[in-house]
Amino acid sequence: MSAGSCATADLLAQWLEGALNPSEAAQLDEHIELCSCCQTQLERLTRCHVSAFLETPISERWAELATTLRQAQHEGTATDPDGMNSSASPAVPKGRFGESFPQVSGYEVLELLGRGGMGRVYLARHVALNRSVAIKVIAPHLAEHSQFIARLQLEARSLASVKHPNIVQVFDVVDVAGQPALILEYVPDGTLSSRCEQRKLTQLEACRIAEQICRGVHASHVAGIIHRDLKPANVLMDGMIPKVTDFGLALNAPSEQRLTAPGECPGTPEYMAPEQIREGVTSSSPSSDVYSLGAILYELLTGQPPFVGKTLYQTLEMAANSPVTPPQRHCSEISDDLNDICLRALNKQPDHRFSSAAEMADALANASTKRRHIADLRKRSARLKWVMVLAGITLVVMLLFSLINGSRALKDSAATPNSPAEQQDVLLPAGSLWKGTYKFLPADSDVPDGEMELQVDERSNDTFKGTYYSEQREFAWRIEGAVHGNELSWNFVSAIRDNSAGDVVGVVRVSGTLNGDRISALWSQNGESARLNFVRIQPLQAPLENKTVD
Amino acid sequence: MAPDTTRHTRPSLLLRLRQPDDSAAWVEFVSLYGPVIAEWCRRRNLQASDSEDIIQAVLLRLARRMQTFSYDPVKGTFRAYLHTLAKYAINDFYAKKQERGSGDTRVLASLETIEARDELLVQLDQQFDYELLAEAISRIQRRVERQTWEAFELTAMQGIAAAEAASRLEISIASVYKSKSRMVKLLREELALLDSDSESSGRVSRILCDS
Repeated sequence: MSAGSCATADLLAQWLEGALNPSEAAQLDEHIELCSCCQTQLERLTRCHVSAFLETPISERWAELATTLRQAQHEGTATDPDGMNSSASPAVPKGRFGESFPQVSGYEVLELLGRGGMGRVYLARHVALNRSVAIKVIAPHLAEHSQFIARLQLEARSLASVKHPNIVQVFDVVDVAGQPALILEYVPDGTLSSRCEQRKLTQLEACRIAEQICRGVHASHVAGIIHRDLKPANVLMDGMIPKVTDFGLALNAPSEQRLTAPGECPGTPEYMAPEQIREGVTSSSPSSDVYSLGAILYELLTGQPPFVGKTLYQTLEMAANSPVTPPQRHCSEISDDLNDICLRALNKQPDHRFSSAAEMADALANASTKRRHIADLRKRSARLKWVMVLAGITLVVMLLFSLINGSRALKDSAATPNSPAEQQDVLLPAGSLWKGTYKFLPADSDVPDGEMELQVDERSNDTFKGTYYSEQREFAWRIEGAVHGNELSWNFVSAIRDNSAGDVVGVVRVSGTLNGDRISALWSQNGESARLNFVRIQPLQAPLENKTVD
Repeated sequence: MAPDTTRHTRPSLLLRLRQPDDSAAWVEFVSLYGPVIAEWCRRRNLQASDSEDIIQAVLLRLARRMQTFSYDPVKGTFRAYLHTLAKYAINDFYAKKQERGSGDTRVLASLETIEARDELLVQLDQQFDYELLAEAISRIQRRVERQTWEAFELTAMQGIAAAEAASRLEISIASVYKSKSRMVKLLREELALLDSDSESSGRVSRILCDS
């Protein structure tokens, strides 16, 4: 074979097996060195894709499990894993499916309570004191960074110095087979998020819980700790008492560490302050905690966080750029005080928020949860004044009408079968309509006046039934009352349209005096009172009809 | 990305787990078999949190059976050994699981079927191809000259071109191909030895060497 031409596959195969005679083999040896065509053939003849086959993708998701297993393997009973040949050696604590629990000396690990971004939390019993505790074992792939461990211990120490009823107490930091673990107060009733899933909280409950959370967070701020990851899942409940836990330690991890599997969100974007989103967790301050507190309050009141996007990115983008929808728009019964507190805490500028969590707590303590149907809210007073002026004009016009037609009505009352006998000496006749204004007492109260209507539906000797309307007939209630001489009174019996969840039904009492076409009454509710003044007006169609007859 | 050389010169993972300090082996073990069990759980429509516990429990049984169940070539092939190992481990898992029954019946119900058990065994068996190959390679490596091994390692395992490998090892390109060819032959023979299962026999060889 000459040096120029190429060998056949068969020849090459023989050469590979060493089946050629020495001189032929030597020639081919030289040829192959320079011939890429032969090399290609040889490639094909000797192909072997071991690399692809053996490549094991190592994933951090499994790193934690690997450490747990290794620990279980070497600490547990090696030859008798399921305790089938029970001996003196104690069995490794087992989970529901026989998975293994960590062993912590001095504690009896009872069950797995849950998994978080930082690691697993177990329920355990402190053997000597016979007390329940929670043990949080830090995930191994976090534990490998000594920097992280040092910071963890420092924060744990600071946290341990804070003793506040609304903070989950840290009792100890221990070692579990080389990994750090926190021994924490055990809080039995789950998280705030699971509580909200069970039933929607009332405004009052939301307000009280939020206030306590604020106080707890403030206590930690005073001790120099910023939470950085406040969310309902990080608030544990002891009955109705909230306790903050999981002090953002996970977010203090070195940035190159992935806390979760690829594709999962490292933090919780729905509660993150815009500056945290833009600049990262290093820009966290007590003010960003206040933002998160606002987001929590928002969710307690409306059932959802302030910004919810379809993707992580969308949520973050909305939180950073879009204005927040006021809670009242989701739920009209939310009081103005609570609405304002939410909006202030959720301000995109840290300087505009509450200056401290304590300030927010105080605001919550003083907040009213009622949006009283007759309490004109300061914001609406401007609109209302306009409405009142218009109402006043309408009232005057109607009064004029009634005055003008009053005498005719008297003449015609006998002749018109439609309208019921409206003699002036029947007080509070059936079918009568009264328009009124109310004024809160004391007279210099800064709540502006409002208006309402009273319609008498049925009338008997000394009782009546009617309908009470708030301004613009936005809300309505059935009332039942009594009339004795010219004294009258009524109670609210049931709601037809109501926003105050039974606020007035059975609670409010109105009593006053009748004077011809006027009622002057007093409204009593929970120690508040208001003066009501009604003027009877004809239903709009009646006087006009009368007029045409003539 | 070239795999780490040292990793593949060791015997199969499951055997490495016997070494107390080989923490890397545990990570590989879990990375390799965890997904198999996870997929099995997913096909049973289990929730993520339930399946995590199950994965751990099965892996634990697998690893622990390793401690007590050693491979004896007289009794059968390596493949058969792995299969029996898995079978015992799965039995352990089911036995312990039944003991609990504390209200996780909904979860356990979907695992209870024979079909489910068999499926898990089959899935693990397939993953054992890895073990087989690793074990085969480890054995032949011990039997050849260093240069032969290195030529094979660079080309077949790291995927480096023959010319490049030749220049690194300072031998001829012809030598590289000869070494590689010899190793592939030995590998096939070794795999045949370790892999007796009539269904899978030759499967690993075929996957490796066919394009």
